[in-house]
Amino acid sequence: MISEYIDHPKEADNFNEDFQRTTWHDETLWFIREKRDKATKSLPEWEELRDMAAAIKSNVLSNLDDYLIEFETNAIKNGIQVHWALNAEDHNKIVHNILLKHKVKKMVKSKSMLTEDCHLNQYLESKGIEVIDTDLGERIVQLDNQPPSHIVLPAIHLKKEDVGEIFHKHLGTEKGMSNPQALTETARIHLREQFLSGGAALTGVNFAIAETGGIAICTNEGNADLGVHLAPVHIASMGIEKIIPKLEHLGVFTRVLTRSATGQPITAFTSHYHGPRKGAEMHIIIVDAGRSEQLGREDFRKSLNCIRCGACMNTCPVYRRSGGHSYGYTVPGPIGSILSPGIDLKKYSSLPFASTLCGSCSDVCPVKIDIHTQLYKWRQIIAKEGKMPFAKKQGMKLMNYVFSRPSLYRLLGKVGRNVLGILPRFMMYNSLNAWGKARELPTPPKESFREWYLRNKK
Amino acid sequence: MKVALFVPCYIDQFYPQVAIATMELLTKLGCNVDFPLNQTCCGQPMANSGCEKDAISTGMNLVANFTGYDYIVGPSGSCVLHVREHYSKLPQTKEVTKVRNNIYELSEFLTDILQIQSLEANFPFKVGLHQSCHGQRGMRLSQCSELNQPYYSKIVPLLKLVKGIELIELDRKDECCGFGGTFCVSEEAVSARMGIDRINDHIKNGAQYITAGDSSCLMHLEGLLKRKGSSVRIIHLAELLNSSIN
Amino acid sequence: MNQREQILSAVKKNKPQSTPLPEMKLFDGQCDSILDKYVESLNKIGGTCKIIDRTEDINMIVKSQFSDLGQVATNMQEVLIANIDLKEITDPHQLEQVNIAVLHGELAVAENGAVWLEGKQIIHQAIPFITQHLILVIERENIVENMHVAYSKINIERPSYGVFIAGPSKTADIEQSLVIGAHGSRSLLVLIR
Repeated sequence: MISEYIDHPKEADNFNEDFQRTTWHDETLWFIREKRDKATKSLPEWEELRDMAAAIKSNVLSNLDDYLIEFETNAIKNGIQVHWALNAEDHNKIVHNILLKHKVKKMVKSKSMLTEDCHLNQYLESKGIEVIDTDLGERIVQLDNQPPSHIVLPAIHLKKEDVGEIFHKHLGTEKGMSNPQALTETARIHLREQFLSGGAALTGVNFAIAETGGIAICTNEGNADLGVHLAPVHIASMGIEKIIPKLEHLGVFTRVLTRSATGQPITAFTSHYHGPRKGAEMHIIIVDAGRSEQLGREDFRKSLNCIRCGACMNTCPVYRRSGGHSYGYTVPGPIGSILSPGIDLKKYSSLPFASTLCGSCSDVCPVKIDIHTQLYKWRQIIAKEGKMPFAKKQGMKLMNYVFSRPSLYRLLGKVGRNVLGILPRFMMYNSLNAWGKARELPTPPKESFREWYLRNKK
Repeated sequence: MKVALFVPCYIDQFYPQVAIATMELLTKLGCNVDFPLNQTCCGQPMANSGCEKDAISTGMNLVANFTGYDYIVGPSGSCVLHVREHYSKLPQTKEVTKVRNNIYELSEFLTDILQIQSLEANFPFKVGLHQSCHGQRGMRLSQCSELNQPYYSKIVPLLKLVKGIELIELDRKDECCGFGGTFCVSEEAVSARMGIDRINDHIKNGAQYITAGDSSCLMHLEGLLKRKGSSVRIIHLAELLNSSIN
Repeated sequence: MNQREQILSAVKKNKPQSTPLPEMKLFDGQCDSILDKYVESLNKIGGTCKIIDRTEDINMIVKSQFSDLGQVATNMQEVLIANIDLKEITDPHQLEQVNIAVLHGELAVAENGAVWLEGKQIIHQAIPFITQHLILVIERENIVENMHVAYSKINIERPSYGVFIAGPSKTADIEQSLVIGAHGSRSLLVLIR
């Protein structure tokens, strides 16, 4: 279990070894945050839309079982085959069975964080089925055998030279080619072949409409559509929380989603699937995988509002300077740090601490998830559980720093018994001069304010 | 007006001049300032590390010290916000509720309660304002860059009352400095990097001084400035508003 | 219990107390000229726009824009330059070589430049995606202000497919450099009549 522990500070430390690259990563994502600001400020009703989106999601969560049944009933009427999966294993088996039935050797797949989380690609590959990620960013990281580092921009951690190298290795492009236009054209030609030869297309789901039994999928590249419209089988995987009650609610969500994600007014393609095309099959897999459990956690259920726009990643000063991979979870950044502890508290116990609680994530969130408050609340649970290595360690680091410097200790000692009361818990371990690595300590004053006050005012 | 001065522990120990300036400023503005002698810490460092429960007696001590005052003023958005928000975990006695309701951050108190229109202060330097997060997004002391809301600030108009001051514009007006309490040591690499980016923004835009409503952010930024050998200095908002440099 | 029942019962057990749906609003009446706003939005998302007087002009415009037409497909009778009959095509893979598709759109949205296409009307759902270049024809009076109004006008027949297309396909997956022409159309021209 210990080997599985995600050590965010350590990963972040590695990331920061390359100062220039960290600058580049931060500035690239900040640029998207600025585009988002511009787009959201062009709508006078922006804050009202956030309120509406949050209220719709709250209604969904509070009636979710009814909406799921309504959705299923209508989807079946539309000729869609509906499947239910308790967990990743179930989900992967359902996909595999559909592919077996149709003797599919190659499946094209558009972006789906859910299937990333289920490790579907690895599963299907172990069964001899080729899976082609068709979103450009996802294809890049897939070719290089990496996980995505961002939910909207999967290859945002890579520079164009890196992509050129990956394409040179896997697609046979000229060495040193790094022009994004030329690289994209290479991928276009390569992926067209895949679309044309896909035996099935798997997509994620952005919104599932209970009232109509259909799903909406948003992409900029058009890859979900190209895959689905050419393949004889369409499989759409969705978490139970993707439900929205009515078609009219898409008015709110299509307006907030892309403005938050990239600053565009809408994605290039917003597709509405209400059944298979003639001669084809359409399947929807409704997946729980920990979501119903999260729904039962009063303090954390609001995290299920998430529409996966990625705005909290782009705004997070920690994410921008530690990179998506440092989180070790499919959904990185602030939202991932409140979702992952519900999946595996011990493994992800460092993530709620990978934040200054600055609150920017909560303010950019289009569905008003109180992300930084939930981070704080997970910290309380992690500390209470006691077994978690992280809460203890970090407190120890600070307190131990104090105890290893008698003059500082004496100084801080004056703060009083209440603080002292908690110190012994953290006393026994190693010393790490974390403050002083990059910073000087303040010059200790001759007297504290209290001493000054007693001398001057009494 | 009788005011109780709340001095956060790290100000008491490391930056007594900030508390002195706060006291002098409030006195100058006609307040009768008390300093309850047995105050210690608000408990935030423990709570933010996940040890909220361990901070309850610390919180109760703070409440005991400040019971009976109509106005409690502290030169720290972070600590004041902690009392206001996270003392919801203390038993909600009459005293606790009253302290939560009556505690103010300095700029908020000057703007909302005293509603000051003028100040006897001089500070002939270029100053960059660091918006500390808990004051900014926690207490909404000024317009937040993430939100679609009209411009306002409870701090900038106060700074503009100071003679000689020149406020500089930043590229990123309210990004976190990376202090974050225990975050500054537990996530040392990111914390330091965030702070470096903040000071570089101020330096690039010509600041001679960086000011903020929280000494914790300033301690972090000062540590980085000193290590860099920069001539840019830090000054707490209270010191700046109480300054008489000609 | 099967998986469906397990999930539904867990959801039922764990869901919070019911909260109401918010009242929906259209947020319309904000812009002076819906047409101007549409043109502005379309330009911002990488599309271009022409206002045409007569539907027959489409033929001339397309010819003037493309020196080599290649395969041209359409769902509009007036488009005489078309050389692919979509109704004759049985397998969408046969559309692989289509260079230009001229398609009639049902509705357009001023706030973001999007055009609504219906699967049944375009005959093959793949066509607006597989074509190298896309030309959409809309009526001036069918441009609405925003997505709220758009959804209030759309009638989803079921089963069906429908799509809002806003601009040519694009990606910024490599270092945030915007590249037009990811997998779908390399260009989008909207003709307003």
